[in-house]
Amino acid sequence: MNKITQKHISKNKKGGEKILSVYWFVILFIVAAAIVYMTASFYGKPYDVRQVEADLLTNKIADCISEAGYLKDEALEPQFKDDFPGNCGITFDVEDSYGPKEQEQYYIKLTLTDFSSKNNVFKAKEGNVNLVYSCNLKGNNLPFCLKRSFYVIDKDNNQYQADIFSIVRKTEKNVK
Amino acid sequence: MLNKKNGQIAETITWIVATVIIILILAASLLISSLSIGNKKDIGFVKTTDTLASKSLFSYLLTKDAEGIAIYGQLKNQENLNEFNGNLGKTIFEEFYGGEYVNVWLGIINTQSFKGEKNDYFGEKPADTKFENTKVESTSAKATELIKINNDKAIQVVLSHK
Repeated sequence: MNKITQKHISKNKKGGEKILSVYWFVILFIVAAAIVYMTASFYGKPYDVRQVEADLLTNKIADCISEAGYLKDEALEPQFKDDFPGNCGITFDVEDSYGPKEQEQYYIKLTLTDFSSKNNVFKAKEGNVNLVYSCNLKGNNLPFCLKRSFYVIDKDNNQYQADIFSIVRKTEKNVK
Repeated sequence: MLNKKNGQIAETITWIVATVIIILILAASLLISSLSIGNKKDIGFVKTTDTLASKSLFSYLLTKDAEGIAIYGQLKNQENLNEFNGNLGKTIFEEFYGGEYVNVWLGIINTQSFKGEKNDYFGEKPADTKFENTKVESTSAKATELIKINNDKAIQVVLSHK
């Protein structure tokens, strides 16, 4: 009886060691998973927010020329066109942590046409015009282009179509 | 003594094997990390309101017909879209937002039931199955703008995402 008990104790001891090594492997896998997570979050590809940025830029321009459904009077004045981004409170300054100041990162173009005849009434553009040529290209590290339109009238019930073309480059920050 | 030496050798072999396993697991974790990271991260940007479509709707409602009556006034006195405001609405919203959204609808809705009136220019209001089930308008599937005309009805533009 005594012998059997001793044998059992010995087996139980080995079992305990086995459980301990399994526990260590669980710990090892948890550490590995943590490394995966940390590596992914630290060295991971950046979030591409250029679509949001281009959309905000477009909305800002739209707010700049129309208010409460009507085209703002000053939008058709020549002074407005002279400093179109400044009048809309838009600056093209960017942080230089990725060296994007070497070339302008934005391009905006506003075209106002007569809604019925499609005749050009007003055109203003600003920024890096070279970005326009990359809009029709296909690839990964290309600027984000957004072309949107809206309908607007003036106080005399003249109808217009406003086309806003926004391009955001910033590929270094958003696409690696 | 001999027994102790054997024990030391066994422990050393265990740690050599363990080190190899640790290195393999770490290498595997780094490999998984590099494979799981794509070219870029998508932030899943879904618009629930469209500023330009809203601006178009405001201007549309302020547009006057040949008699000088604004569309807002026309809709107040009429049951549904007429030839002038229906065609103008179709030109504006289909032309400007038809390519961007899978479905564009403009029409009169009942403000109590949210049910849309069928019209000759945009047809039936697109079904909102989530709304049918929950009675809460789902916003992630579409961008909408609603302007009240009176206590019972409103004009709504519904732009369904692709």
